[in-house]
Amino acid sequence: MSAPATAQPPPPAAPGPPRPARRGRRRLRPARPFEAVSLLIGVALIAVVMVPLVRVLIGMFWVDGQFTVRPITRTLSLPGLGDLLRNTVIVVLASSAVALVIGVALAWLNERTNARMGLLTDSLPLLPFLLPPVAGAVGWVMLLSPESGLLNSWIRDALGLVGIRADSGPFDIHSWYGLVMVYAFYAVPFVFMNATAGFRNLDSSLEEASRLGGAGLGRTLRKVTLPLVAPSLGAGLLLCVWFGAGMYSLPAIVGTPAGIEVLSVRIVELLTFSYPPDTEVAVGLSGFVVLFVGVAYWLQLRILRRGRYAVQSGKGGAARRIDLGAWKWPARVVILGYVLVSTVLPIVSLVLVALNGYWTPDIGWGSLSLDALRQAVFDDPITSTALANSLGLGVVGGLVGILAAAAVALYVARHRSALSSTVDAGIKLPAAVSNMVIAVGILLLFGGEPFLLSGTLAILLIGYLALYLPQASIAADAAVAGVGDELPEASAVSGATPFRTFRKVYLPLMVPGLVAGWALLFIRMVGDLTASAILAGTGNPVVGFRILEVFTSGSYALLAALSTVLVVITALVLVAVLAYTRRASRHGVRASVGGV
Amino acid sequence: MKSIARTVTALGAAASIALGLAACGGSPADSATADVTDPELKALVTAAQEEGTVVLYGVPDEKVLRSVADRFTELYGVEVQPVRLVSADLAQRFSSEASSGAPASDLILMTHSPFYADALQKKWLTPVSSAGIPDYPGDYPADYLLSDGDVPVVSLVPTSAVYNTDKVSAPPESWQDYADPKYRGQLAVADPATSPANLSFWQLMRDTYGDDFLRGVAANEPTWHNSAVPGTQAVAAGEDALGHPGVEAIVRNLTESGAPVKTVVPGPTTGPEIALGLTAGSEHPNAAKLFAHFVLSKEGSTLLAEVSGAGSPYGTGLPDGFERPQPVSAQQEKQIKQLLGSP
Repeated sequence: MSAPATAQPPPPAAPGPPRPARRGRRRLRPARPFEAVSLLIGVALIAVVMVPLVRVLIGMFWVDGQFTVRPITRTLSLPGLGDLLRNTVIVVLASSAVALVIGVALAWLNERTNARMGLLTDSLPLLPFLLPPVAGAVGWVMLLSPESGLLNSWIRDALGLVGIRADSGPFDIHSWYGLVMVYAFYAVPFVFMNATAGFRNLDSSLEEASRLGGAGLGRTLRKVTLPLVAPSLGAGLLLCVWFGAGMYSLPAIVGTPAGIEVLSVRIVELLTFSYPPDTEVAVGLSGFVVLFVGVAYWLQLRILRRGRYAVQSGKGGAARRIDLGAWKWPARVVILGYVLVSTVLPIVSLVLVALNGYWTPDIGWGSLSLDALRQAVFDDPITSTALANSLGLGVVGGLVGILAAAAVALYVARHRSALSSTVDAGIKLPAAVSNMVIAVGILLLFGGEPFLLSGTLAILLIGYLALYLPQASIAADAAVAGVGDELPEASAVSGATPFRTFRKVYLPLMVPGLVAGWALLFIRMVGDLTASAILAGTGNPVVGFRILEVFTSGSYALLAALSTVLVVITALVLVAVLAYTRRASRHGVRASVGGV
Repeated sequence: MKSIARTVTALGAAASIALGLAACGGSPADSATADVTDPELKALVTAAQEEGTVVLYGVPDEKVLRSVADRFTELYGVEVQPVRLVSADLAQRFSSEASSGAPASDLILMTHSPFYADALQKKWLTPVSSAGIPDYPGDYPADYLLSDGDVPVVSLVPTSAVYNTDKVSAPPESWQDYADPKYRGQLAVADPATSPANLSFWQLMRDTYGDDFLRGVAANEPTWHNSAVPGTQAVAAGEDALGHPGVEAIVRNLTESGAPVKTVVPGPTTGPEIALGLTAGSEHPNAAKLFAHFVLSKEGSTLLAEVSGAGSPYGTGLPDGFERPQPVSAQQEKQIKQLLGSP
């Protein structure tokens, strides 16, 4: 890194010369209005989550005017605690590892090689995201239950043709491999999205140098490409771990029948199986989730701080794709095959069951009807309102969330201090706390005086922001890390204010990452069940609330119908967004970067 | 701030009423068909019609709530907005709303639990006996008036067995079929800890058939689910032959779609009791009282029993040998779990 720009006259707006900072970074400017606003946004967002949470904690540890450690002793003496922890660690780590391999492979093929098939391979790997986990879990149970699973029954029919007969199997979704598989399918999009953003920012001249130096494709990938995108992979993996540790529907529907109990399920059971809810132990168990996620967070921080990864260099360097030659089509078949298995199959099973009216391996092909679909979606005015509300909340909430997260991520990246670390950790904490606890806390805080937001869309918006900000924050971190120091420094040295630098340099360069983050938030908010269960109602219905209603009243057909409609709508939005950002990044960002 | 929130709520309510009106093609108050003579009731009806709508939080199935609501609207010209969720979610919502001082419901129909006593004590609920409901308690069966009539039980949900009619030729004749070795690997059972009523049922089984029956069930290696929904669906799909507990509303929905599934009550049983509560400080107190009056009347109670397949305190739909659910101690719960080998 070169010495600070002493040869140039100090920019007029800068009160002092830039100082070299620790770890090779430099502080650009002292706090400015823009940065103060970023900090304020961060603190406000943290307050939304922390105030309710702290109230719950105080209520637990401060009983009748004195301090008590009972929640801790009760949590630690919970029967079967060891199994709970072990199961959770196994499921989350195994599925994250599987998702990392699949997600990176898909992203690399799609971004760095000529196996890409345009929007098709851009968008399809994200599809599992669109299916609310409760619907995905039910979809897989209907496919792979040993006796009545549709896929199992089709496989048995096919085997029957060659003389192999069986009454059940060959697969059982209610098993360790079934649970890990479903978790992994839901985790792959996290890795895929982040890895894609990383690969896209990569300067391919480094790869070419490696190839010219005599390294093969595999060695280049291992020694050059993957290390350069490490922050993106770390972000993806971190999201997998957080998602996995907090996930409820998948382990409840797929894991419980297999006798595999995980932390998240036990936490919800403690809150719901009896009255009054056992908040003490539920929150106590959340402590383990915090610990678990904290370790993953610390690892990601280490990757980011090492600082040896791909950033926009400020020089031309258009990315050149690797020609796979004869392997192009086999690679495409692998991508499409994965999409078929992970996404198309469960959606097909949901559609079939929606049309058939109930789950059975003997689908009445002749009598399929749209009744359930019509009944669940179009004939029901509440559902239509719910759809409109959800989409609106997704668009607005996603935008607010990702911009706020970007401002905070920038602040944190540029101010390595105890304060910034606290803000960063605080904004990510909600991922580790049971969604239900947060939702209840928000209702308690904002439902009554002086806010009186109970039953409004505003309280849902706050709830969604609080719950999904960690995910936005991680996406934004990776986007900021991808910009690097060179261009912003050039901007600052040329006299731009921090806000101007944000608008003219950071924002355009971060667009692909931020749009991916927005899409993530949009999808999460539209498909949210947990906050909606507590915060939505007749005055402010949302899709997640309707899905919960039809699930608990036991209609898989209505659940399937509603989820299918949700998938179709969110998929259209996602494809449109992806198409737009592709164009934007090609014509806007690349052009301006190349034109420097 | 308060007025803005109220306005938003009112707008929302107005919008949904408008939708309702568009569907019916006339003001519901004008088309009220009930012939009311009692002056006290008449005054209540007028007051309720002025409020126009009532928000009901309930655990019975959505279809059940809608059927009862439709009849109520037909009689009195007051719209009902049902919010249907499971008890735990409703209790969470209700208590959070109440403790923040912004109740959204007007009345609740929830599984009876210590929640009611708690809510009465915290003044989240208005005691039904002093709310001024015409004719109350009148000839309402006294056994079902809990807490001195402050909490009336309006529906009794007998626990039933659910079976796949393709896989089980003759309906089970005794609960002991669950321990029959021919059903090994063919049972879908909800974890007894999912609800106090479920525990109460298994305690009744212990008392009736002895601990060996529960051990027999465990020997059949049931698939444990954490709610009744996935188990019932698995039985309907033929994944399992017998399920527990059978939930009438789910099974009816499935049967309507043509699924080979039925419920039966093969012996003594018990089950959750659904109680009624009036939200304190609600927006439509008169409409809530009128709805309570309807559900507590013989007509309303019988209708609720018929559309839900559950029992009415007046007697409709109550199977022979129904016992009121008894609280189960932590000790007993532990033993039940051990005997059944449940999670």
